[in-house]
Formats: sequence, C-alpha cells, structure tokens
Amino acid sequence: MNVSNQDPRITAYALGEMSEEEQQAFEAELSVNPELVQEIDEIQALAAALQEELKAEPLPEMKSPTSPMADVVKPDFGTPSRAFKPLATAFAACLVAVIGVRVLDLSDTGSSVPDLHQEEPMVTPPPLVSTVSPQSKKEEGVGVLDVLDEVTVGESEITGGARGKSTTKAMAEGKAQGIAGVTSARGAGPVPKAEKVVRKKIPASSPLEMAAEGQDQAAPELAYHFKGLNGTSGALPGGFTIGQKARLGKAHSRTRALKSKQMMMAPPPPGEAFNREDYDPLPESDFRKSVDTPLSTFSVDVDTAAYSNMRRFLDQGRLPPKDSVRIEEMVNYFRYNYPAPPPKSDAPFSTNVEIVPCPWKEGHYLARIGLRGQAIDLKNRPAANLVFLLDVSGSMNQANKLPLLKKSLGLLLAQLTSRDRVAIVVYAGASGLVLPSTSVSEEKKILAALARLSAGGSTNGGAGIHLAYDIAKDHFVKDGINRVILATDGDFNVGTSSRGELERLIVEKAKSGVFLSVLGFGMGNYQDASLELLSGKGNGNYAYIDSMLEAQKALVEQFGATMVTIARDVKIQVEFNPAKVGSYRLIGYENRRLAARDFNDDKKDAGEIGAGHTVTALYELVPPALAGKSEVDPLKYQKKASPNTDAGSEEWMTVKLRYKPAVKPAAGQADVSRLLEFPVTQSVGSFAAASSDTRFATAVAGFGMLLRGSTHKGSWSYDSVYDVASRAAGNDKAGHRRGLIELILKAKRLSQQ
Amino acid sequence: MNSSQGTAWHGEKIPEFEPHLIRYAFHLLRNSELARDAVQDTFERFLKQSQEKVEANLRAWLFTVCRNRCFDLRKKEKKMQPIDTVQDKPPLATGPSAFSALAKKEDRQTLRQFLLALAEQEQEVVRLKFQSDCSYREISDITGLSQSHVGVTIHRALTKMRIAAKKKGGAQ
Repeated sequence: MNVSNQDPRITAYALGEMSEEEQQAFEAELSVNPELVQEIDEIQALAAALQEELKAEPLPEMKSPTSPMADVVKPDFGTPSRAFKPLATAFAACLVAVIGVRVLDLSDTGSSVPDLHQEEPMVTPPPLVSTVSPQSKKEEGVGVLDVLDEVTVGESEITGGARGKSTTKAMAEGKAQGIAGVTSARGAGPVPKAEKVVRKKIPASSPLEMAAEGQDQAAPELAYHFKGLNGTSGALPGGFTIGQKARLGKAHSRTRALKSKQMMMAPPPPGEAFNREDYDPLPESDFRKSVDTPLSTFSVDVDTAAYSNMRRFLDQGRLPPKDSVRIEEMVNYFRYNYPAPPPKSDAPFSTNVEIVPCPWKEGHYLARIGLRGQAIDLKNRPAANLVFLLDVSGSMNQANKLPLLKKSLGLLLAQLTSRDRVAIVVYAGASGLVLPSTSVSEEKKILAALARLSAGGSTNGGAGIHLAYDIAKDHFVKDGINRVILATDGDFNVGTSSRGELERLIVEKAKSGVFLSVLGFGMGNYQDASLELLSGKGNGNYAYIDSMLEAQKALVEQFGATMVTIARDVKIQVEFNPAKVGSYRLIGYENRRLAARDFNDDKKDAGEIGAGHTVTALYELVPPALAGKSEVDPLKYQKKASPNTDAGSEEWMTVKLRYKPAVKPAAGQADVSRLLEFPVTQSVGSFAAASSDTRFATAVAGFGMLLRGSTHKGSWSYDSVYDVASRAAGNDKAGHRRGLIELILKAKRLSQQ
Repeated sequence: MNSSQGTAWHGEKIPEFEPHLIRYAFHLLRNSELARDAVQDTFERFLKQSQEKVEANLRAWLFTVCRNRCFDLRKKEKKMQPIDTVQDKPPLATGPSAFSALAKKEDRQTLRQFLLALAEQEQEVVRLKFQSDCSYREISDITGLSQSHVGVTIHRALTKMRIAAKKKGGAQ
C-alpha cells in the first residue's frame, strides 16, 4: 500500500505502545497519510480477535467439557506424580463442591471471572437442622455447616479418590494455609479448576452484540469532539472509528503498570503502589447513654456497594478487610416489604418501626427503623437525560471491568424508552465525548458507541466529570431524571485526583440539580473510599457491580430506586425516652452520623431515597436497669434535665425525619426541608415473633458485626446468623437472600482457619 | 502468616496469573504436565519473594521465571519438537465472538492456523502480548529481546497474519 505500512510504529501505535511524545509525532505523520487509518483499524481488529481467541484458549488439560459432570468423572488419573494442584482452586474454595455452570460469560476477552454466586443452583444449602439450637450445636461440635463440609468431601472423592479429603481440606483452608499447602498437597488427584466451567454466551440477541454487528453503519455518523490534556483540540483524520479515537487521546495503555516498572528499583511514591485497595478506617460506634445524649442523628444511606464488595472477597476465599464492611450498606442491599406509603400521602415514603428482643444479648432490644419510598409506575416515569461517564483508562482493561461495564449498560439501556436521552463521555488520559446526547429511539447508535469503547491510558476523572455535567445541564429535563452515571474502578490518577479537590468539584456540580450514580467495577486497585465520597457528595447512590447478576439487580430490578430520586437530603433523628431506653447503639452508619444540630440545618447534605427504595436502620437498646448511671459529671451551673410527663408514657422513642422534595425549587426560592415525627410504643414479645424482614435485617447486621470483629456481637456466631437468616429468607424470588446464606457459610469456613 | 510462605497478596496474585502462565508454558513445552510443573515451580519461587521486591514488575518477573524454567525442562526432557508434529494441541475455544469483526468474518480455525504458521519466536511474543497482556517493555524484559525488536516482531507477525487473511479472503 504505502511505504510506511512497513513501519513497526504503526503496530505500536495501534496497540497503544507508544509514549506520549512518540504518539504525537506519529499522529502528525498520520494526518498526511489518511490511508494508514485503515491499517490501524485492521491491526486493532486483528489484535482484538487474537486477544479473544488466545484468552479463551482453554487450559491444556481441559477437553472443552460439555457437561460439568462429564468432567468430574473423567479425570486423568494417569498423570505422573507431580500433578499440579493449583492454588487457584484453594481460593475458589467452594468450587470443588460446586463445579458450576457459569451462566453468563462476563468477558469478551474470555478470561475467567470468579463469580461464584452465579453458580447458586448447584449450591444447595444443606437442610436446616432447625431443631438444634445454636447453643447445643456448639456443644456437640456438629453444626449445620458441617453437613456441607461432608457434601464437599463427597464430591471431591469422585475426582481425587482417597486424597479428596485432604484436597478439600486444603481448599477449605483458603488463602492462609492454602498457600503453604502448595507443596503438601502435591500428589493429590486432579481437581476441577475454576476455569472448568461451561461457557455460555449471552444469547446472540443481546442488544450489545447486535450493536457490534450494526456498528459499521452507525459509527461514522457519530460526532466526536476531542480535547487533549493540554487543552488543544484538533480535527482528526476522517474515517476514524470511535474506539480508535478514544485511544488516540492517550494510546498509552497500561500506564500504571509501566509507571510501576519504571520505578522498579525505587520504592513507589506514597499512593502509587501497584495493587492497592483503599478503605477508610471505620471505627465502630459504642453505646450512648440516653440521659447524656438523648438524640441520635444520621443521614440515610442507600448505597449497597459494601455488600457486593464483601461478597467478592468471600468468593475469592478471603475475609473482607474490616473497614470495607459497612453494615448499613449490607442491610440496605436487601429489599424489605415494609408497608408502602398510602397513595395520597404527603410524605414520599412510609416509616415503620419494630422493637424486638435482641437475639445476641439477653435483656437488650433491637429497634428496626424502616423507610419505604413511594414506588412509581415506570411506564409513567419522567423522561430521563442520562450521561454515562465511563472510565476507559488502562486500569479498566480487565474482563471484570470494561466488558462487564458495557454489558451492564446494555441492560440499563433496555430499560429506557424513546423519550429518554443518553450521552457517553469517556475519560482516560484525556476525556472526550464519544456520543452526544442521543435519543434512545436511536438505540443502535448508542449500543454501537458502547461496543466500540476500549481501555487505555491513565485516569483523569476530574476533566470527565466537568464535561459530563455540562452535557447533562445542556439537555436538562425539567422534572425529569437528570443523572450522570459514573462507571469506574475509582482509580483517579491524573488531574484532579486529591479527594478534597474531587469533593469540591462534585459538590459544585451537584448544585445543578443533576444527580449522580456511581457504579464501581473491578478489584485490585479498587478505590472504595473515593467512590463512596463522590456518590455521597454528588446527591447520588453507589453500587458495586461484580457480575451481570449484580448489574441486573442495580440497573433493572431496582431501576426506579437507582434512577428516580423521590426525596433528597433525608435525615433521621431519634430521641430516646430515658425511662425506657438506658443506652443505645446505632448499628452501622458510622460514616453517616450527623451532629444533632445538623438535623435542622438544611444546608447539611444527606442521603437520597429512590423510588421504591427501602432504607433500614437498627439500634441496639439497653433498658435503664442494665445501662448504668450517667457517665457525665453533674453540671455546676445548670439543672440537669429531668424527665417530664411524656417520659412516663409507653413511648420508647420518637423517630423524626427530615427530607426535601425530589425536585429542587427554582432559583431564588428557599430549598426547605419537611419534618415528619413518629412516636414508637409497640414492641414485640419475642425475637421469633418479629416480622421476617426484621429478623433478616438483624441477621445481616449480625453477619456484618462478625465480619467486622465487633465487640458487641454477644453470643452470636456464624451459626446463629445462618440460623436466623435462613429462617427469615421468606419469599426470595431473585435469590438475593439465599446468596447471603451462602456467604455466611463461606465466611464461617474461612474464619475457622 | 509466615512471610516465607507467602502473604495474602501472594495468594491473590497466584490465581490471577496461573491460567496465563499455564497457557504460556504449554506453548513453550507442548506438554501439559511439564507446563504445570513449570508453573508450579514458578509459584514456589514466587512465594519466597517479598512483595516489595517483585510487586512493581510482577508480570515480567513471573513470566521470566516461568520461561527460564520451561527452557530448563525442555533441555532436560529433550522436548524440542517442531510444532507441527505435536499432538497435544490446545483445543479451540468455544463460543461466538462478541466484539471483533474479524473473528466473525474469519473462521476461528483460520486465525489459529495463521498463528501456528508463525515462527516460534513470533508466536511467543504474540502470546505474551495478546494472551497475557504484556507490554512491549515487559516482553522485552521476559525474552531478552530489545524493546524495538519486540515491536518489529509483533508488527511482522501481525502483518503476516493480515496478508494471509487477505489471500484467503481473496481466494474464496
């Protein structure tokens, strides 16, 4: 074709292997050789095909199993003495018992994503030995969990014969001993591996794949504005497709890895470690005396990320870091069937409180406060103006990040109608508009733009945030859903990256009335703390997406809750009656606490409630007789407050709520909150008689306390959590509650090592 | 946890790299037992390394150790067979391709034929690049080729495959 198609630089360029200077120089040459664009296109297509083919290459031993069982009964026993016992299996602990069918192939690159909860059909929780109380179980040393262990042993005996038992042990031992076990387990029979799963693609009719076919016509029509880091913008040679343009910005993929390599000999600068996950310290709150601090105030939290993140850890065979466990997010991951607000009520949500005896501490009580947002009829929901702000930096270039993100957004798109609009902004080393705000009636165009995205470069989140909010404002739908959906691993490493700066930026942007949803992806350098902060400050919600199942939950089942905000800045303040409650402890919400005076301060930001959302908070209450005396010295100049006549009533407490309506008032009008008040008198006689919602929420909170190593866990163990959770699972159509029960079993096994 | 037995960090890395290393070792050795041995030896050495020492350059470190081990084994077992006489070919991956136009147009089998037709060193580099996501620089560290040599090799390999694909497309 042309002399310079012999130039290896063209391949280096197409694969994003150039330094910034090389790249700029090469782009200058490219602009006079537009025919090379075709070459680049071809190279990238070939690279993608190779990547897909090679990554999907089964491990040598495997013979493309057609059924999981076939694989189990036909192990190659003729292997020499040094059969490999991969550690991966030890980490995928439950896989031995599970040898599951992976229903969804999450990755277009084909590498395996540990996604064990999807194998749920194979994990039959053992029959409940419900007649055995947790106490007696302990004494006998035979718990419900042991039943499952036996199941596991049985399964691996099929594969490894007599050695199956030790294999199982090694696996159950998880990370710690699993590593040491690499040598000791040698000689064990072949073990089904994590990769040994039946791959099933999403049916070809999935919107995204259809888009991939249709992308050729759609792509050239798409407008594209490109702005480099240095602020220069320039026309690009014609004929470029979206994916490449995104890459042009900063084709330097794997910057992070490269950077780390350059620092190979020098210690990495603070915050630049190769693989890091970041969690803020989260000290557990203690009991407060009602006489000293009668008011407890906090902001609602509808995030659920901590739950899915915790699940990811357990699925990998590790206990989650204590600070990553936010109990309120775990509790709020689940939906509860609190009574819906009456159709004509003023308040957009209902409030429902139940007081029950505390199952982990004799004599204590639990108060469960439940809010349920007004559901909206999705057919009549307001029109949506969504801006996808997508991180396509190098760190997103993993099967469980960008490919999963694309598929997740495909699910979300399927929920939208032709009244809605979608724009796509990507950010990496530079940020760019990949798709201007487009009506969903042109769905193909949107899907094609999504399908074309590819990852490369470092992460300049700040610039992308600016652009995304600008577009959302340009297409603002009055009384509609105006939302930026940020999908990222949160690893902002270029531009505005200090937390303080990001926080100021997002607070500023949130004033525009555009809401924010944060979808967290991936692991390894997952920056939980930044993401939680962003969603909190940006009037938003935050979910961690680790599988299509989770995407389905956050974006389809709970579309209304995620997208349609019905109340803003929802705060809860509880006043306890010292005659009934000696001391109290709010379970979870550690980083959502507010000062008592913030309750009436409408400038103080708080959480949002979405349509149909449920929000749950639990207090552990101690009766005055057990709580002891005031810990504060008597005041010298003031009389101590003394109980009035209301204290003699049967009321335990009064729950007060403040919220602002979802729609911001026009400029100039005050954005005032409304107040709701509910005195609480009723209590339930025994924990067993409590509603299944309360019992389940209690089990989740107890599980969180165990994972956090809480000092308040009292008599509770994983067995008791399992017991309560499995009895309270109730009608669990989507299987989320069953998922928790499996996690409890995993955590128990991991904690025993 | 004793540091000589690896930390949680080691534990996390092993499953991440294991399939990549096995495929790579298998490519070099053409024998799944030996490949797994090589990878296991690699991880045993890995567990003795402190995180600080290898973290920054982990991918290249693991592949280099694995590669050396493979060559040792190859010498020992005299397994230096030419590629076409090898029976132990990895099976084709199953499932349709989602995002790549080429894999749709071209039969996967064809793609694999093209790959196997490449020179051994080209194949190795292509695998490191596209199967294991190594950068040119990492490939240079692993194979000892200079970075620009890596670039030329990959360019040459891809060009060969594209020309082969065009010829085949034209013939049909």
